[in-house]
Amino acid sequence: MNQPETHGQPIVTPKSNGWQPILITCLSLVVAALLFAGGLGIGFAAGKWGSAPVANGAEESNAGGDAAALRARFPLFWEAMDILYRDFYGELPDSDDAVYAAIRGVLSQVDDPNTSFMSPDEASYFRENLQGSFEGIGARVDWDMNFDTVRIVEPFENQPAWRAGIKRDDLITHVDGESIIGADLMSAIDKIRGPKGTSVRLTIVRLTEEQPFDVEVVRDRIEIPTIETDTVGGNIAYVRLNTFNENAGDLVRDAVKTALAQNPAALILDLRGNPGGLLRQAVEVASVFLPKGERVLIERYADGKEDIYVTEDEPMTTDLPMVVLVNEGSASASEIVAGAIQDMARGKLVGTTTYGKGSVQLPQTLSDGSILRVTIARWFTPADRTIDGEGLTPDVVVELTEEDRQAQRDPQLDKAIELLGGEVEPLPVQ
Amino acid sequence: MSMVVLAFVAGYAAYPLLHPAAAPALEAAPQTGAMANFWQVWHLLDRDFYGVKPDAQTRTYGAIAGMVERFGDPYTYFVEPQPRALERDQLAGKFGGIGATLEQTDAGWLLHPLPDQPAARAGILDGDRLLMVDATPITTTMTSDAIVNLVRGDPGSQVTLRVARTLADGEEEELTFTVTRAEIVTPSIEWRLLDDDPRTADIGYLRHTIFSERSAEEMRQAIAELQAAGATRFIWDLRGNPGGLLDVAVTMADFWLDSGMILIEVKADGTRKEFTATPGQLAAAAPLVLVVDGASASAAEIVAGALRDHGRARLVGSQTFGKGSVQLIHELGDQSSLHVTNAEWLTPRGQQISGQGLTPDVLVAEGEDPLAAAIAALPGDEDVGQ
Repeated sequence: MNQPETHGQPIVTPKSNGWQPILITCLSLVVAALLFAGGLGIGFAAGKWGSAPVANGAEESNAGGDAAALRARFPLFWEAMDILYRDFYGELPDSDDAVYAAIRGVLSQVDDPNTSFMSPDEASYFRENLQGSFEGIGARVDWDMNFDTVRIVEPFENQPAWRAGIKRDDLITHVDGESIIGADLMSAIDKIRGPKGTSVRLTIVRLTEEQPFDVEVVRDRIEIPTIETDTVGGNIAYVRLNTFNENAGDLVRDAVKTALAQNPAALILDLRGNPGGLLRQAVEVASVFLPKGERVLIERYADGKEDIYVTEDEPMTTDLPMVVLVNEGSASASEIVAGAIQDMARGKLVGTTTYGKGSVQLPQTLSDGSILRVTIARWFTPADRTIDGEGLTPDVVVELTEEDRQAQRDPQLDKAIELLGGEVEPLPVQ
Repeated sequence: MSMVVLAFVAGYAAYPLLHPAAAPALEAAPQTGAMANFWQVWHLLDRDFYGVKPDAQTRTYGAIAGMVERFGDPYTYFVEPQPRALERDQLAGKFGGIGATLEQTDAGWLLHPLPDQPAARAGILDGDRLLMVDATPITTTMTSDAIVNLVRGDPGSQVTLRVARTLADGEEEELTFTVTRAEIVTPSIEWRLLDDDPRTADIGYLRHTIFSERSAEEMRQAIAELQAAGATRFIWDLRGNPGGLLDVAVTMADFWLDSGMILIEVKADGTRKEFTATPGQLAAAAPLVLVVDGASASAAEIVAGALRDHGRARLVGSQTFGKGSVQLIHELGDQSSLHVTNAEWLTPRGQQISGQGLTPDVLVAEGEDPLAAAIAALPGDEDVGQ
């Protein structure tokens, strides 16, 4: 078959209970992109990481061939389609949509939520979102299959949804009074999003509350920086990476370089809530902290082939005491970095058990612009541990409660500072 | 809803099987460029997917089910071959089998042979535990549908059953029986005279569970027997009846009408087809009451709507389901089937019932006995001549 232009770059994104998290190149995450997880490494230089697709002798048949050939290969499907288009009483679906639904039907037989399909509309919506100009409520959402409506995966700190009191796992059932139950994620997101300054009334079902309630959220421009830096606990450098986009490695390297100029006593890498992104960037971030040539991960394909990824750049620091902050929102590429640092005893992990996404997807753009993401491999930590479905257990487990959040306390960060010998700041006066 | 899913079927038996090469309307379906993507996806899964790859048949079924779902109609759906076989048997009201029921227990699947049926005649005893059907071992995790499919077959054909039998001394012995399948009939109507009470001893009661191919003949027989036993009034209980075959519903409504419309069918292209009653009734002008509930659907609603619109019967019970569409069942090449909503129907007075159902003349509140209400609603001897 005519292999489409494969913007393929292995990427790693969290698996999901339905949400197909995030992303790669998003500077601003909005309520939307999020759906389309990690997908597209658009325009990625493919060279040095090798091309992931493994052509293991599958015949390159003329799969896109003429209608007669298709019918011959797939008579039952055509038989059904012919009957439906001839006899159905009611509005006929757009024929492309019917085919996309058929594709999703095939994928539903594959027991893997990370193998997914985006129609051209969805794909272009996703690409637009990657450009980064979003105005919305500032939350990552996904479609909850059990309740058949939108679920909040993560309200971004200090963004409108968060400020309005929306919490993780809240279900949105109505937008401005209109039900979105049984709709689909794209149309629901369309309703939730809107220009900065406008407000939207969301009806929330929270499983801990008996009654649904309405929340008014004033939309804003959502900007989530890829990286944030600070100095904490007196003289400890703090680097927070929010996503593994194509600049992540360089940004972390520059941030650490700048920090080192201040002679910090230690360093904290904060990967909490970082859903992952590009595999290559995970290796580059690890390269900042691990000696050159060190193993970062092992990737194994369906045909048994194995790729070992090692650090390829000179590190910035291999001995500055270090803690990596993680939580249940730290997934895939975050887990690669955290796993390598833990396995190599480069630093301790502090926080809560990570998401547990140990598979690798290859996004492929098909001939009409739709995108297929296929799980092509599993990855293992340098010590050959799999984290799939289990996550990484931190060396020091520290929870962050909703009360902590409301009070703007961060016991996880405090524990990291304490472990690194810094001064823990007193609690803010209530 | 699964009850209704099976609901209403138009003339599946009469509908010719379609073969792709012979279907006249092949080009009606879109020739879509998007289809090329389909094959790309298929191929990429084969080539790259890490994990268990579903086989081609599973994928094909997934594709059809996904595509059909896009039509957004709960009554338009795809049925894989195995459930299809059971569905066909259910609508036919008969099947080729051994005449035994299955019971799932912790120990396994137990057989309960029916008297004078092939299983009993072959020597299978009540409580024999099924170990094997032909060459297929039976496990506790198998579904009853799966086992039933193995046991059923054409009448006259043979099936070999291996069973374990617990003997009087507690020992178990394994036995093998070869059973010749026969036609097993599944009645859709049970009937009796309400003669527990002399005041209702002239009422014939018919409990009707599905509109199968046999239903009309069963009703004919029921009315004849009940009349012979002295019935002059009738209660036709359609509670929980999810429907069935359209032609059968028309025939059965006609049993109680001399003339007039039974239903109007409207197709996608706007064509209307009227089904009308023919002269002659099973029980002349005998008083009739229909009992309905929220699970009385489609064919049951056709009968109820027709007899009510013509003033032939009163409806007693609760609001009916409200299924006003008609499906064709197409058998596909591999014995799977496709249910396609093909028309909607209206009652003789033009009422569209989709989503609303029929409101009974006598509403029975929750907790009250619908049968008692039906008896009360039935014009009795004391009413005659008033």
